[in-house]
Amino acid sequence: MTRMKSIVLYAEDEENDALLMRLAFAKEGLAEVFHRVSNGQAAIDYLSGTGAYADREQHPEPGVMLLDLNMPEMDGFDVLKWIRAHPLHHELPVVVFSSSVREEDRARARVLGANDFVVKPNSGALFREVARKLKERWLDAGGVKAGDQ
Amino acid sequence: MTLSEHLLGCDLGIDQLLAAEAQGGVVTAGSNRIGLQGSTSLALMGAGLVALARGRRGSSYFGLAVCLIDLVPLVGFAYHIEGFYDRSRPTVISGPTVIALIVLGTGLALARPAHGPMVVLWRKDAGGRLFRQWLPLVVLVPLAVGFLAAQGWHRGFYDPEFGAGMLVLALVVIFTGLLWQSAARLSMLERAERRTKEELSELSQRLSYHVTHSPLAVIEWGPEMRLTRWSKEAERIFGWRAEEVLGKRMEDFRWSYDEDRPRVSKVSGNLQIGTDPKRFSANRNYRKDGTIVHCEWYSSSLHDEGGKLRSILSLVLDVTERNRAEAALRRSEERYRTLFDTLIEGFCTVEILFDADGRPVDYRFLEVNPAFEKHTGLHQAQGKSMRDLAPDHEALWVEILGKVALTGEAAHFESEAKARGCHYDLCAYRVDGPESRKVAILLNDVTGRKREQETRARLAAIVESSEDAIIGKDLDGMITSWNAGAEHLLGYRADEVIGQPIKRIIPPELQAEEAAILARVRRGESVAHLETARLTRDGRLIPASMSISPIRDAAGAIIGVSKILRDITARKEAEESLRESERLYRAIGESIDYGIWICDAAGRNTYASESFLKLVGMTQEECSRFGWADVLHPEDAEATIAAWKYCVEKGGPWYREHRYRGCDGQWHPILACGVAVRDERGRITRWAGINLDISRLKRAEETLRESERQFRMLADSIPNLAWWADGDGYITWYNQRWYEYTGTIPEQMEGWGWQSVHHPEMLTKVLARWKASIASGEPFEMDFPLRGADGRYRWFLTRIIPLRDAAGKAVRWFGTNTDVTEKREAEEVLERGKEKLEGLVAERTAKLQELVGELEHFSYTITHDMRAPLRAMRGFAEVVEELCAQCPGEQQKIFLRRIITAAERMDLLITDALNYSKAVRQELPLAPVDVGRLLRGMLDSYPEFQSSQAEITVEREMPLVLGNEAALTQCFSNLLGNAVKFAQPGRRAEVRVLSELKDGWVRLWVEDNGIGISASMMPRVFDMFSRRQGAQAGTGIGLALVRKVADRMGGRVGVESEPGKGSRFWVELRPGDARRAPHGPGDMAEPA
Repeated sequence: MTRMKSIVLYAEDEENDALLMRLAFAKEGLAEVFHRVSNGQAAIDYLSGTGAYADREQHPEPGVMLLDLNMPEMDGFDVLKWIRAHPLHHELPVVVFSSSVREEDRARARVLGANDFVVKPNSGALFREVARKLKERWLDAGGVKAGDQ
Repeated sequence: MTLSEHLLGCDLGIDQLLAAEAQGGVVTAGSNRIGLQGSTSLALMGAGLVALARGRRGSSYFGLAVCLIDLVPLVGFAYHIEGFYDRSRPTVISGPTVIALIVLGTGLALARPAHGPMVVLWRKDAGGRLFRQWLPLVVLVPLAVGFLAAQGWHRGFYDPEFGAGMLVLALVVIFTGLLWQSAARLSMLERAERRTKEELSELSQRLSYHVTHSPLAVIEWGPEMRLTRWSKEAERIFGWRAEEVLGKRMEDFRWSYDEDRPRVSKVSGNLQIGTDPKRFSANRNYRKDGTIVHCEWYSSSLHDEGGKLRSILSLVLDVTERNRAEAALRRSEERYRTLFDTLIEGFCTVEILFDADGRPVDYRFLEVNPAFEKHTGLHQAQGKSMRDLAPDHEALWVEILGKVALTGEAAHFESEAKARGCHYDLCAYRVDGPESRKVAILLNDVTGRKREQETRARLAAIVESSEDAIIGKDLDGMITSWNAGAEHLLGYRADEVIGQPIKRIIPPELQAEEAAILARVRRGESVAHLETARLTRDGRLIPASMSISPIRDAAGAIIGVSKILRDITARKEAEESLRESERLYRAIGESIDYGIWICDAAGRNTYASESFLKLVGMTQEECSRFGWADVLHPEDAEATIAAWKYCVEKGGPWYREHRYRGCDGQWHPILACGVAVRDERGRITRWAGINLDISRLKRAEETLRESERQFRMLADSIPNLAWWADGDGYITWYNQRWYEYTGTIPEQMEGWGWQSVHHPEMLTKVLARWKASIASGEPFEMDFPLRGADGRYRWFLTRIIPLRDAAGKAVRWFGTNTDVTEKREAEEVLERGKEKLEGLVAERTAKLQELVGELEHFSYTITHDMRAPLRAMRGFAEVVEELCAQCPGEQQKIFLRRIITAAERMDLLITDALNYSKAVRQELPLAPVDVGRLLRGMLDSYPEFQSSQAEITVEREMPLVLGNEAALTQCFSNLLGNAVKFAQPGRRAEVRVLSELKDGWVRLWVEDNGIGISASMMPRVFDMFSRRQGAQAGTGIGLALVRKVADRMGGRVGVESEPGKGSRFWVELRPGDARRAPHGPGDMAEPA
């Protein structure tokens, strides 16, 4: 399976946030790398390359996943668990992206194997910063670094 | 004469005097009948004969010359050499003449074989032998060879040259052989000579060595009696060195002892003339230093063949010491003899006789002196054995003497000869070496001395065994004897004090006493049992009884003092102990209330303690006159006096209470106790006893009675039921209430009768519990019902407590039964209500917790979910703002900005509310926090606190505080945020963070130069949603949050402010470093 290291897969049910993030990536000139799924199940399908995501040309393998926690049907924690248990994807860098400020959410994400935890900012400018940092850290550097936890 | 004629050449006709031949005769050729050769030979013969006759040595030479002269014509004849016999001449010599002359010459030559050249012919040495061997050969072989050669030539066998060659060859052979043998002989001789010389030299060296080192001096005189040899030993014996005496004659130096000189001269003379060639003599000589030396001389003389003295050799031995020793021995022998005969001690030499096993069995007297007979009574013992003389003689003697003979160790012993009843002192030693078995014995009859010794020993033993110190001293006060008793008593050993002044053991203050005693003793008086004291070695003073008596010598003169000291310490101590004992019992008596009393056998008081006499105001005399009876209480007096009389009469013990009237006019109850004191035979000698004050006892009894009465009254008046039981649970008393309630009577209830009023169902349990308490001694508490007089049961709380003795054992039990029926009913009601209430509370608490949880979740969800649309609002507003950045219409931009600002505010509000609720809910574990580090970290990472925005300084040394790092971060972020936010318009915010230690708290100050807080705002500044006026109005949650987290960390907050000048917020927390707590503000600058 080919893995396009330049792809960021964003799992987010909130359309506004998804749009803001898409705009932010576009502003940063990274429109090409941004792929979004609208819930947890869709994220798994995308990664598995099944259903609507069977075409890898159109839906290439992501280099990093930006994961919202609070999603319908299958939340972010479940997705994270699935990824870390999957033989092919267990090394995929996952950055949790949530509006939760609860320490227990942060701790749980860490235990389940999230590489980073970023609180959703309340400004468009800050979304761009998130997009930029994601690319710099996970795509340009080409993988997980020591101490990323 | 004929010869001279030949020589002179004239013929005198002499030879013709006797016989004349006619001229031209056959024989004679000349005028003379004898030729030159003949005449020469004859002349020489004559001369030789003359020489021989005169004893001259030359005769042989004449003989030889004749032989030689005549050999020539002989050879001439043999070889027909006419020249040799002078044929030409008229007087030719004839062959027979020649032979005769040769024989004559040979005879002449050999006439004196020991002298002259012919000596060699007779010598026995190698030369002689060589000569004898070769002479015939040398003479005959050439002659023979020559003859043969001549004959051969004459006969024509060969020519003359060949004959001459043969001759020469023969001569060469002969002479070569001769030379060879001579050379060999010579070499042999030379070797022999060399060897002989070496042997001679070695011999000479050996001789010289022996002479030099001979233990005998070697002295040699030469023919002239001059000293030629003087060995080292001679130097040693006589003192002269060899070079001093060699070449000298005997009389040249003072050597011969004057007295012995004639004898020496005689001996010397004999030696010289050889009449006495070997001679021994003993005589004295002077040494060089003039002293005399005794010598033995062994001399020999050597004479030559002619009897002439060649040398005298003497070997000399120095016998001075031997002579001296011999002289001493002789003198010793003489002395021994004298001693032997005059010795007072018996002396004998004996030979010890041994049996086959080598054990000594007897001894035989070899020699006895006169004293021996006297001492032993054995007459003519010499040659006899001891067993012969005394068959039952002590075997010990034989044994000891045998040992002496065997070992050579001298023995000195004393032994008794029982047969004679005598004691002997014997000294035995071996004489004449180990094999002799001879022993010399010196013996003394010591019977008298022995008896005296025994007597003395007995006396000494008495003295030594005496426990008393027995000390002897002379009249000068010097100690002369000191027995074991004295050693024990005074501590000095005998060897330490004998010879020392007696003053040593006398204390200084008693020295005068000693002088007085000595004076008395000198007068011949004795002193008996003088009590005094003496000093021991360790400085103790011991009381002693002393008896002194003079010591007299045999003549009765006083020569010393005998002193017997007896230690009376024990007696003194016993006396003191008795006195002490008396004092003690009097003291004991005084410690007893009214002391002790002693009465005589008849009952009359002889002693009463001071305390009693003082009590009744009486003297001992009054008391002894039965005064004590007068002060007895009238009610007691008669009975007491009668009882005392009875007691004295019967000898029984005395035990009685009675009252005495004291000086104070009061009656004093006294318990008198006493017993009879009896002697060994059981007779009463005294009465002794004590008086005890029993007034307190009496008062206590009264008190007790009163207490009992009060207790019963109390017990009867209380509403509880009460009772007493013995230690084993047997109830002896119930209060009145018991009987009233139960409607019983004491007889029914006594002991264990109470069971009848118990409920049958409970009784077993009650009994078990009660018996367990009795067994363990533990208090009892139980609720159980008791049946009242009306037949109804009521509940009683029963408490039973033990009364314990000194050992902790329960000796009595006190029980109460309290009616708790009403209380139990009330409790039951209460219990039921409580259970209901608790259920209600639990139910409501659960509901409340559920509600709180729901509320919490609700609020979280609300705030969380509210943020999503807010984020969208703001995000899209920003997008639009960005899109419209280049559009005209400022109004729209302003409205967009307002939307964004409102959204920001909304988000801030939500964030603060979230934080606040978190601060309220979450656990804040406390730990020491380095505030300085925390603040500096914040300043580095928070963009709003960067120096471009404001100038925030943090004190360099900040203390540790006890807090929660996250909570403190929230706290300071709010305080610093406010300080920056509420800066004076147009003025840069200056903020300082300081710390201060105050009363065990760390106060952290955040000072700003902002707008300050108005007085009206001050009280509410930390309240929720309380907001200050200002350009940057907050959410009104920040300071509330600060107060909340400070509170959660156990701290406090406060503020000081002046509007327009600034505010000073403070947070007080406990120090994180416990050691800093007690310190004051002065420690602020110290490193945290």
